[in-house]
Amino acid sequence: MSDQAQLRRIHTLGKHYVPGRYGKPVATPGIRISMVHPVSIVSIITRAGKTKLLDAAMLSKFGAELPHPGGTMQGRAVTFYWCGAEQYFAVATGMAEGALYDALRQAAGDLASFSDQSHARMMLKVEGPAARKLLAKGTPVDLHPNIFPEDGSAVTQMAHVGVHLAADGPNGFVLSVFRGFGESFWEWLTSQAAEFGYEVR
Amino acid sequence: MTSFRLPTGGLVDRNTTLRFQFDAKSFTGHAGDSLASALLANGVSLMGRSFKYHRPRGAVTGGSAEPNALVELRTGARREPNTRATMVELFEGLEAKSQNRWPSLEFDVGAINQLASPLLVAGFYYKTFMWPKAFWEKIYEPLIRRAAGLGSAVHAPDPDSYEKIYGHCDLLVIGGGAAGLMAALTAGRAGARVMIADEHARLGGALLGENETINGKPSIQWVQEALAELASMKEVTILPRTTVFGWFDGNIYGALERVNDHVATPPEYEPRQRYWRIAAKAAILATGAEERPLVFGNNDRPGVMQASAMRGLANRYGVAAGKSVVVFTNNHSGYATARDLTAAGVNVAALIDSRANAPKLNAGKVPVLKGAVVSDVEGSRNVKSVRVVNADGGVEEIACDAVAMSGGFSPVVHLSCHRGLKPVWNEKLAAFLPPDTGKELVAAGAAAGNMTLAAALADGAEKAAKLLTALGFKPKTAKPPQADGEPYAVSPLWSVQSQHKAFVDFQNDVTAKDLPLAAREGYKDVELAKRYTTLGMATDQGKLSNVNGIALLAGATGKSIAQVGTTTFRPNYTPVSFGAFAGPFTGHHFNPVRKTPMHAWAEEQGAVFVEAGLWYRPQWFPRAGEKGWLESVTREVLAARNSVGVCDVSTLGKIDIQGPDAGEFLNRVYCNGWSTLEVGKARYGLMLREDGVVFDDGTTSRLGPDHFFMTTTTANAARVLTHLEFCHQALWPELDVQYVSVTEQWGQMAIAGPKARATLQKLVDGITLNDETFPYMAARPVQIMGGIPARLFRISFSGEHAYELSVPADYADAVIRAVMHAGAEFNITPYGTEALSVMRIEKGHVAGGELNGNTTAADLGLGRMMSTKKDYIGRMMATREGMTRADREVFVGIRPIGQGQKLSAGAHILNVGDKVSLEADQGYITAVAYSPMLESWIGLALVQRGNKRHGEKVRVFDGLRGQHYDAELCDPVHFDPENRRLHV
Repeated sequence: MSDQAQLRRIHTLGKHYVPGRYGKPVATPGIRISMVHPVSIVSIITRAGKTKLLDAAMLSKFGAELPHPGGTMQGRAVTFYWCGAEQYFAVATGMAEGALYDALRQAAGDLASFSDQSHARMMLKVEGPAARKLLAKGTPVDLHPNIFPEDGSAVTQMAHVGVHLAADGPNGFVLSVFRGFGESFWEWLTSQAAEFGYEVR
Repeated sequence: MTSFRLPTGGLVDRNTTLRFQFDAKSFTGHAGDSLASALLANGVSLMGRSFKYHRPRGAVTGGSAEPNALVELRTGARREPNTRATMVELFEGLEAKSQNRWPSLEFDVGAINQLASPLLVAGFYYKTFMWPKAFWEKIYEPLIRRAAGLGSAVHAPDPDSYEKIYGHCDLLVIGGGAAGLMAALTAGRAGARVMIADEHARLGGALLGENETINGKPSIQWVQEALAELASMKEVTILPRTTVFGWFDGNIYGALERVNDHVATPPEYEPRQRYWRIAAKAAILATGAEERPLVFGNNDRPGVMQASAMRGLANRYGVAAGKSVVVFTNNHSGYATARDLTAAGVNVAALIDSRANAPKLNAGKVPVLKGAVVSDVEGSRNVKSVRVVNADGGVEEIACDAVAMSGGFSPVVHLSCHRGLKPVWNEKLAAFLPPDTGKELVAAGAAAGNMTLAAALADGAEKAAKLLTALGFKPKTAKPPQADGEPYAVSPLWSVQSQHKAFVDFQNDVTAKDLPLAAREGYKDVELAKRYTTLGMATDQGKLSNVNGIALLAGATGKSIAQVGTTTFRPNYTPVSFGAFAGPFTGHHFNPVRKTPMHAWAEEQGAVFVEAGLWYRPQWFPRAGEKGWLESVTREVLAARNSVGVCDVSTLGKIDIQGPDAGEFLNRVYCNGWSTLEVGKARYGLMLREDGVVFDDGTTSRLGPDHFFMTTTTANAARVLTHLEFCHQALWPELDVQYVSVTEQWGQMAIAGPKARATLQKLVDGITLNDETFPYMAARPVQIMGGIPARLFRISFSGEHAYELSVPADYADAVIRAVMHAGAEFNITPYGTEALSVMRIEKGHVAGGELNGNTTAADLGLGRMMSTKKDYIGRMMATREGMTRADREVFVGIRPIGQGQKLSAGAHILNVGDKVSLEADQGYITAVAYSPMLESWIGLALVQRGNKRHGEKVRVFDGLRGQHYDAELCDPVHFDPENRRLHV
């Protein structure tokens, strides 16, 4: 095995993730699902009394402050999602193993506690005209665009599994679950998407 | 068979003919028919037998309150009992069967119960079947259950799927009649998010069955225009076939959408039913009013119907209820029926108005008898005539084959009472009105007592406008549509003196005599009378019967109706199937499944999995030729003890703890000290509950001055995190500490055995593993396989020289395969939770059986861990008298005395010579295993003063398996008590 091959990450669905068209045969699938992988996810928890300093550090290093409760902030090459009181996910793609975690610690190591969660969560993008209707089968969060805008972020539950859910464009959402639940959640999500016809990308 | 289909009229599609079967006979109907209307069109009025007396029954309503016309719908696995024929939409190939009759509906043996009816009065089963006592379970109950059936359930799995969905709106409109449509239009035009739900296939409510005009146009045309306007509004959701069945805290409504109940089988990809949980800022209760039956002799004969249902039959379905009809009324409803039936060409023989001073109303050419009553219906399986007692006391018999009755209207108040309020009696309307439920749910239209069409239209618009204004919308106030109609006036008539049985509650066979009987026997409270008589029970929940029943109870107890009051209204308004409640979470989806990142690898190894909480863990890895689990487990243990084994321990809870006060935080949550732990080292930690009992254990490592990595047991992972949250937020918010679950970030494997180091050495980058570079209890980040960041811990649960290797989960599959490859020369062997358990029992390590929520640290032999230099959770309470008593059951080992004797977990321990009794109980065995190292069964136990009784012979009593044997208490560390193997 070459070093490169050894370092390849395998997402939690493995062979269960097969691109293609599924469910009701319709001209345009109501749902498109894509795996966000490999992805870098770091959880950020603000240290006591450091909220403002942390915001400043994030702004200077990543070009965005941390979001308000229920919100999302787009920075340079990284997106910050609110996920609890003084808690956030920093999410990026295309970064090397541990690089986002290192960058965040470098920027604000004494202002917040950072934990690398890049491998802990299965992240999916769910989009399409039926995306809201599909997710309404799982989450009690009101996803109407007036209520849950394009920078919305929520921690919720679907199919008995804890989910981080955020808007991504007008008819798109990113959601992530603990990877151990990945297969179970995938089965639920795709079975509920079948009536709209769905495409796995 | 005579056709009762009228030549014209109705909203059915006469160009579409549908074939269906009832009791194996073939019939036809039209699209738009209900099963009941289609049967009546074919002259079938007998649809079922009653619950107790097996009396012949037909449809009495046109909707969801139907107590009589309950049928088994569909066949095979889709068979569904107790469906209301009045609510079943006709579809091609529909098959239905009548219930509660044997051998046939026409000839029912059970009808003999009528002859025994003096024995079957209210409360009969409490009186009749009391004696002898032994007969109840074996004879009486099965007999009653067979006789008194309401259909039977199917044992086969439901082949259809069910869905759950959340809805959100500014205004939920419950009911799509005149008031509901006006409310929805008002809200929709104001730009609000609106959901309007109606239990019927078509919205329109009573307007579908009435022959009225709105703004000079037929009311049905107004309905269609209103629906078209609503459908054009982006923020309006129209939900036909949807029953809002409950009102819950937080203004949450439960609703059942019958997505595909109106077809034979749901189309592929579609559910049969959808269960809605609707969060509404405000709601309008526009559920209308239900027409009350009148209580007279044989008022349950097929052919006796609500007056509104009978004109609905003509107006909506184009079906005549009979050839010649008598109308019996105490309000204007009977007049509308007389007019509409006459207009449809049905002969109306007479209109009997019980009010002597009834206002002059238009009955067309139908003769009106004021101050008269119908005392009895004659006919057995259908109506032949009615006996009328005139105002002057004279009796006349009028031939007819159907009777329309109207005892006034009861607003459908149910939902407004689901959160505990009681409805309010209104003397003028002779009806209960909804209580004041505030601004979350407001009744409008007939549900609020506005009984005329004009009033309902105006009320729906006005109430919606008011609610929307409160929500910040600016609804336009337009003039409500104009409608004619007679003012509503009713004179109560609760029962009529009769010769035959007069029914109050059709579904439960409760007669007018039963309520006074209940009162006489002491069941005067309405809740008691309900239980005693069964009034208002079963699938219809007294929608037709309760008000009449309450009035009769009031009469019998000398109270007013307001004083008697109603029984408690509870969800669900109408029955909801179990399938809808379960939704998609059936079979293996009942709980989500949690898999480790090494699951696929373990599957390839042929692992047998065991559920540990939601996790699936390899229990053992059978190999070809092995005879049972014990042989596999023994092989796995021997491999780990003699060479090297590997076990997936990813399911352990892992919590990342950081911050300047992280060390202090650990000092407070663990009973042992953490200040002295060096960076790069792991320590075993013991956590107590506030009451001093052991909560959880695990190793925690210090990765940096302010950075710890805690592990918990698999079972307590979530509980420990919750505990940390509580301690930090509620007890010590001043501590600057942060913690987050990283359980899923790391795939973790234990590599144990004398060859563990040699195996790992091949994988780690840049260090030579030895006791200097990586001593016992070292815990450090390492790099493996040429670049994978990992963490290595030299810790041991097995008692062997062992490591736990943690890698980011996406690499775990590759790493476990690399570990297997590296250990191949040592015959590395995967082991599961059983081998893990054997080794921990051999080593006397405590686990679930001993961490049982009763044991203290001292009980487990871990008392020395309890620091005396600091405070921690559980310290004070652990020193209570009872927690330190000398005779507590404490941790001890146990071995059988006889050669080859097994031990059994859960068995109790007695002193030799003591008889079996609770008092003599010395303790019990918490865990057992066959030890391949000792070639004997060994166990762990909790025994009174056990730590002081090593070497003592005891008696083991296993009452469950009927076994008694001798055993010896011993040191719980059965194997390698000097821990030499940790360092080989």
